Amino acid sequence: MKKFFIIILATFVFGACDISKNKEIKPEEVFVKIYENNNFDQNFTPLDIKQTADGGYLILGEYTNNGFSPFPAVYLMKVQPDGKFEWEYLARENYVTPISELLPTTDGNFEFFCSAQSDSLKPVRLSATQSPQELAKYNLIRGLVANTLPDGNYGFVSYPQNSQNTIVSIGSPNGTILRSKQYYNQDNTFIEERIDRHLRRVRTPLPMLMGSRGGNDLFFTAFRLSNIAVMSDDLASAGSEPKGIINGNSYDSAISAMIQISGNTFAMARYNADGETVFIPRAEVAASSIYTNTSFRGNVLPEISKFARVVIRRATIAQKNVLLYLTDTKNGQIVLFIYDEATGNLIRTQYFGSSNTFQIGSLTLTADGGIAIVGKTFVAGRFGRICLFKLSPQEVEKWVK
Amino acid sequence: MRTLLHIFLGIFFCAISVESIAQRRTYKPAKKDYLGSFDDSQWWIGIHAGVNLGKALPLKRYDILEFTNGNSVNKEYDGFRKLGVQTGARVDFNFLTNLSVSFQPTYNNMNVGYEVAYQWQGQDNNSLNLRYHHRIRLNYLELPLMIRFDVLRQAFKPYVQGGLGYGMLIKADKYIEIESFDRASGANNPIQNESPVIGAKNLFITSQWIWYLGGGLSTELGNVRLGAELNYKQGLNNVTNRLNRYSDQRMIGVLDALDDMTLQNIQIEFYCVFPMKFLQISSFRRVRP
Repeated sequence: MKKFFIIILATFVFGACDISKNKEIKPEEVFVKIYENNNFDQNFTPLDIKQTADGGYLILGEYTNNGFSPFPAVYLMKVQPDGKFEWEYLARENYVTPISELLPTTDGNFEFFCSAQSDSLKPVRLSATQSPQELAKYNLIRGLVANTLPDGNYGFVSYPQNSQNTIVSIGSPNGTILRSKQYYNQDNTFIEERIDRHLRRVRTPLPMLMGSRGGNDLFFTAFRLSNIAVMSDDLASAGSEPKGIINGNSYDSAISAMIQISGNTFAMARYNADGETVFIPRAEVAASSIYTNTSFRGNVLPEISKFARVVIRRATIAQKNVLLYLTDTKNGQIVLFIYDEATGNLIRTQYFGSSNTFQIGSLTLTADGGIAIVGKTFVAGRFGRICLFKLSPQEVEKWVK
Repeated sequence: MRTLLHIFLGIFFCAISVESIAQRRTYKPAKKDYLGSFDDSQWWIGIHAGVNLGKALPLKRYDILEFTNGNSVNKEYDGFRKLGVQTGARVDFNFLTNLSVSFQPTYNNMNVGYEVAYQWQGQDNNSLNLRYHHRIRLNYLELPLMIRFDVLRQAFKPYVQGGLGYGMLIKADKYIEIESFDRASGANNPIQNESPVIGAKNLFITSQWIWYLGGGLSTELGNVRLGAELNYKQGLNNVTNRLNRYSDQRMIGVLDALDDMTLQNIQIEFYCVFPMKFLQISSFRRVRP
């Protein structure tokens, strides 16, 4: 009889432990959301995400609406800390093809650049609010990329139609162009088609980069000798030559992402002419040397989509400096690679999404130590919608430890 | 299959262990204790089986789809619709004339589900209507302890019973029946599809507490007791694993996050039990408390 009661009692105690561990999780700690509006004709593509001061998230993207415009229009969405929808902004006419990420401002808000459709696709700086205000317009025809520079000015790459020149410029916050330099491109046929497709998002967008190397040196994507090159220059010297360059191979091979770790050390990703992606977590790129992108050896990743977009972020997780590579797979999933920043060794691979295709937008580190990943999925296999994965700090730390 | 074997072995050894306790008492001289004398009680051991209808009761809603146009996801939980089966061993201890305690280790297969409808409208009368029928199959090893009160002493004894039990999740899987009406692709009628069955054990915690209430009728054929009963049971705790709610990417692909939920079950059972205590007389008659 005693045995019988002991067995029953032990079972009950075991059960009680399991149930007590299943505690309520804060809704903002971990969630997955797909934002839907029941509209058959609209297609949304996220480009960047940032966490706002209230713990919510601001998402910059673009959308198409069944032939509404030849270019994708600007889309902004604000969601609450737990992913619940708060507001959205759908640009109706002029503001198309975003050309920057969400850029933090000194007052804790965000701004971004897009193209003015009615004005030669000149870069326009807008406040990232529910009713965006036009803060400045820059007299650069067909802007392709813009970014904030450490001195508070903005760097631009533009390519006026049929000019055969990539123009790299520095503009002030009030819209004045402070400095510009042209880089001659021999080709005038294929590049026009490529840029047109890039701006209309007919194919995978061209990987346009603009950043600071420190001091006056910038690194940026430019078109030169019929290839997509990444140049280093301070825009000060005369002529059409940059200080340093990483040459591509025609328009099919390019550096797809690049961030500075320190000095000449960069984390990069590139794709070959066959579209296969290579990650280079640690690359030494001198400011005044000439390279070809294939001279940077790295990890070839055949599982990654051809000509894939790649987003790289630096992060400190569980007291370890890591590099986060976000991209998408041929299998239709978003994939996050975590590399040790010091050694370049792979620590973790994590996949997101299943059944329907998932594609990357971007990612941001959150105030609680987690990660928020924004992407695009095709609901019911056809409707392009924005999805948001919020990963808890515990989960992220577990990956790195 | 191995899991099932382990469960049956477990039930078997549990039953043997109780049986040995019962038999040991038959060789001891009758003595008065808190359970009464030898003649005052009876142990029964046997098997039971039946069918059940399951239902999930949502406690807190969670959705993956978030509408930007003011709509909301409407999950409609099924009533007691889908049939499941259960079987197991049964040990009854009849310690007073009308009162018994019953321990019924049971392997319980139950089916619950819910439906979600989606709709898209566009230009040129383009539209798509989808209805996802989410089906969840849960297999529990349940260990209920019930108290039974025989209302009348007659050939067919009606009784009522109630109790508390522990359920251990053995297996869980999930699949979706999809009904689509895709006018945009040229459909004039709804089309049925089915998704593959996926393992879903990590979406649930292992344990649940359950309370039981029911009643039945029993009769005796010689020394054998036969019975039929109807029980309602209700889970006392949330069975969804909160930590893993968003961890299964296949669930995200089908736009689903499990709600916090408890389980409800209505079950019809048939059983057959045999007495364990006999009087050592020529007729080999069982003890009748």
